[in-house]
Amino acid sequence: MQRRTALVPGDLMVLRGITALLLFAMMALTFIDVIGRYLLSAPVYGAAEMIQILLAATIFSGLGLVSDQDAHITVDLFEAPLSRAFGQGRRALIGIVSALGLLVIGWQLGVIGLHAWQTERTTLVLDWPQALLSLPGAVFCLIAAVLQFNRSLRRS
Amino acid sequence: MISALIAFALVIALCFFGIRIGFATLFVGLGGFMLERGIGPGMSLLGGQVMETASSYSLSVVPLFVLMGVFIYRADISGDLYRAAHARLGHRKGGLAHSTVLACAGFSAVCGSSLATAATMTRVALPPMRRYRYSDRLATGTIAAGGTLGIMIPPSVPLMIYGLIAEQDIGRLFIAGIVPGLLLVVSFMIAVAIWASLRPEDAPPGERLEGEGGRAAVRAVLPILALFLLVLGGIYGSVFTPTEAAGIGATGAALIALTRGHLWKLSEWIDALVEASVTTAGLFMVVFGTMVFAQYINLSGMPFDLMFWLNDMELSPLGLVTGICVIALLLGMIFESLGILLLLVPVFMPALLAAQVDLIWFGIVVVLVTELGLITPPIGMNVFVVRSVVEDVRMADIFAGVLPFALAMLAVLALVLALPELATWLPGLAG
Repeated sequence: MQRRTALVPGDLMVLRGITALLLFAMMALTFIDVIGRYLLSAPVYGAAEMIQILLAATIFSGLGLVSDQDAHITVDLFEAPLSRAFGQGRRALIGIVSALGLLVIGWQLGVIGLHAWQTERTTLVLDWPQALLSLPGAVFCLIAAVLQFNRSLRRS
Repeated sequence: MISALIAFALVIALCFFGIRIGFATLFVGLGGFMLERGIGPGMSLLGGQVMETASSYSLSVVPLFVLMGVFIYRADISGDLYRAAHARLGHRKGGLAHSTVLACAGFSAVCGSSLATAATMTRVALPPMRRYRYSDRLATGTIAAGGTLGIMIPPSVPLMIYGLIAEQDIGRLFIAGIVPGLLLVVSFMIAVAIWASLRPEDAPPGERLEGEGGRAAVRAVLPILALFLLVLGGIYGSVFTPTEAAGIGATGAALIALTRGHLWKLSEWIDALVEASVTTAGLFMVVFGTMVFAQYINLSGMPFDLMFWLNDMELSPLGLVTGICVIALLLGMIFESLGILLLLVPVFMPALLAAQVDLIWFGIVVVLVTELGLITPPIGMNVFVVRSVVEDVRMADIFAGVLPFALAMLAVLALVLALPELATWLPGLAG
């Protein structure tokens, strides 16, 4: 287990648990919907909308774990010579760019979510607040940005 | 056009420097868009694109199929798949290499990851091939190439991503990939047969695997085969949407893992679910960035300039697609499959539509090309994966070993280019 700085306590068990639960819910919901429709003639009402919400939440919560592992997809063709030439500073810069990107995404999701909240926009079928799609994403992106910054600090 | 080319150059330079692909494309696309339209519209574009992609119902296939692959990987099925193929073919000349190709095809059909297939099969298939004195070149080459089968045989992540960018039905793309995928398996087996007949000392026959062990291995892979047929048959027969098929597939894969003694602890479930979520989130981050970048490229007018330019050249649809394949092959030297698809497809989309190219066929062709990039230098991710597991084989030997398979892949590519029906026939039957 990697040692954490004060910025990120614990071993991300809560984030891991939330992410796992969201994906499990998506799998179970899809399965129950299909079984309900074909065997019981009773599909889950609004399953597609629930899956959309779960998909967004799974992706954004997963981004935190990707950032913590620094597992964003990269071209590492010149990794060895660049590492030798630029050292740890380069890796910190790369991490900061990723963290800034996550911050910008989180900020925009927050803007969209707050607007949806204030205008009381709801989903078409379930009539759930549309903010459910974007506000959790905004929070998860901010967490991801903090984790990415933290990782960059550890590296440098 | 010039500004778009500068943007492409900037993205490539940033990626080479190590900036993550998703963020390099995101910032260059966002910056370009803001220069043209202002900060507010740029930010709105970013939020809109990210939200639309992240909540797209059709894209929920991605995490669910990735999860299915993770469960199958953790079900520890690869050894049985290999032994089942070995029981049928192992006693023939080159039989263990044939078995490896078949086991790779079977594993990737339910796992969906080329890299996981290559890594797993290296551990499973290499020791027996070494025991029977197969040459390292043939053994490692077969595994590295066999791993690529996962990209074409459904469920395939690159085909899902292509479906998103080109706005094509993911279920039809999966069905379209079946015949080319099987052709790849056959062509790889022909490559093994030719190698074994030219250099018999590289591929001596193994022992006939008989008795209960062989039969048990065959029985053990039957549930995997049934799951594969259920998932694809469900999509083909329009019984399930691809998302539903993916949910059924993931649940079925979890049940298979449970029957094999895995996933009985909560921690195993969490690990598997987190692994799938991390893979999914990593993929989507690249998609977010390249969607924003693609919007800027569209705004720059480059795709339409390119369309008019190609129109003036009076290229046939085949000529156009062949030209794009050459560019994709070159890009394959820098980017892995996802990057190529996301950067290339939006740029050429207007030209492809104007030339009335069948976009299902084009998807299969372009994914085949990116598959080739997995085993060709300088990147050749599958070769790297095999090398990381067997450190006593030189990289040059593995690349030499994959050469016959790369040629076989090129032959299949030429076939699919010349006969689009190989990709379009089966989806056409499904209606």
